[in-house]
Amino acid sequence: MRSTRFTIMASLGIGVIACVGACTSSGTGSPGTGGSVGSGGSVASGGSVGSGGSVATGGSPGSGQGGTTASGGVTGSGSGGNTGPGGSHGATGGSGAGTGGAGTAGVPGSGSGGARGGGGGHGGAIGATGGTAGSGTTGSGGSGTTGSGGSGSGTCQKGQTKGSDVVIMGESFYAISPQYIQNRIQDDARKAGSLGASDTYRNVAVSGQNMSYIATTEWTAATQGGASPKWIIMDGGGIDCLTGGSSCSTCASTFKTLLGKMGTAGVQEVIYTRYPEPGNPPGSNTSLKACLDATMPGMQTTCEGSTSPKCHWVDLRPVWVNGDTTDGLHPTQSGGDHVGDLIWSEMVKECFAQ
Amino acid sequence: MKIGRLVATLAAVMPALGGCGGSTTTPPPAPFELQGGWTYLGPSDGPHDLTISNSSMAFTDVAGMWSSQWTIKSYDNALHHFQITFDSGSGTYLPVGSSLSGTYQLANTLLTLQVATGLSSYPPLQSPGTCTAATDGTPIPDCRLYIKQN
Repeated sequence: MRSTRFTIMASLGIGVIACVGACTSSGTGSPGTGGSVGSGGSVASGGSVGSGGSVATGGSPGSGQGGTTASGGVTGSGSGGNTGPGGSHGATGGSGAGTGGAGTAGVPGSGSGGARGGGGGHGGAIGATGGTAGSGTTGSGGSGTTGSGGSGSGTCQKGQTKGSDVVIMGESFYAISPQYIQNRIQDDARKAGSLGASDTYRNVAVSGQNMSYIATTEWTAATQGGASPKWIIMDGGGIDCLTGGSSCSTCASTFKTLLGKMGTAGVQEVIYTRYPEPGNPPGSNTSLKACLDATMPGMQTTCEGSTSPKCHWVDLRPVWVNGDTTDGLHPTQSGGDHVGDLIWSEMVKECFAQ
Repeated sequence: MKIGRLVATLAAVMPALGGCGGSTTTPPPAPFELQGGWTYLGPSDGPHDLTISNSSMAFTDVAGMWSSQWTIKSYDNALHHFQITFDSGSGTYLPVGSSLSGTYQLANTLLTLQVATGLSSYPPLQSPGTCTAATDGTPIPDCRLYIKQN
């Protein structure tokens, strides 16, 4: 019993001394225990479909007063994102060709930040390549940010359009010689590298023809011999107005039927041009203007309601100014330039026959 | 007495004169149904206007680069024929020739005009309403399409 008490007392004494000694040591700045070394960030995995790698986390700082600061974890290296997907336009690009482009992989990120993956491709209608590569962001040690997935929009690939893939339909607005409008569009296309130097679009427009003729005889001409146009530039309904009536009650339904035929035949996109204000000066032919004003809304609804082919409504009125027509119906050189440039701008915007 | 005899003579003669006049006067011809202004629609030539009266035709380039004037020698509304002879022209005018025979079709406000050189025969109207070949869409020579102006 006495022996046991002695043992306890002795132990307490040693403990107190040890404790005091320890406290004294802390006060003099002896290094504490270093923080645990941060673990290396995990390697950022390649972002799937253009997403960046995950963040590599740095080690947590060492704790302990006076202790050496723990070093950051091993830097994770993010691998580049995988190839980006084709853009949505690829679906309309025709089989095979329209799968969108490959976004190039992002630059591997150093540090814990994952690399940003390749941008998603915005495949063009003709199978454009994908978007531009996402640039990898360098992660900062221990606190890298996640690389975001690429989101680059793709470029519209140029130079693959055959002139015969583009057909112009309608009446004298496009048919009358010289064909200022067609010539201007072709000039614009050649400058952009979208049409060969000696290549031309197919023009099946016939002067004086109504919507019914355009939808039947001209469409037959457009597809004659097994031709399979991909893009259509057209107007229609003006002659229906010129030959009587205050509006064309059948034009919209005829147009809808035509669009259906086009979709079945594989036409991808249509540009319907709304007539300029008739007369010289523009708008002075009030009877024709009234008929067009009554007829065109139905044509617009029909056009904009079509998805296969996609139909783009292009209103020519804003660009048609004094001097653009002499006879009140057909373009002069300046009229052809104004109309042609407007149509071409729409074509560029929509990657139409680029 | 003399005055009375004169009055009687005139009274006797006047009805006869009236009768002669009535039998020899032809009714004025019906006006040419193509009278008025026409705007060219195609297919081959540049934009121009056609102005027609009972006695003349004038083709005028809308840009003022050329024009031609013609005298109408005859027309027939029933048969849709006319004949014209050249009066004058400027620039590179159309149509060409010293005399032309024409056949036309008028459909509502759309005029198809087919002409041929000379006055011996009238040309057939090959492609009324379009002036283009049905097979391949090529323009029919000397065929022109117009729309009536307001």
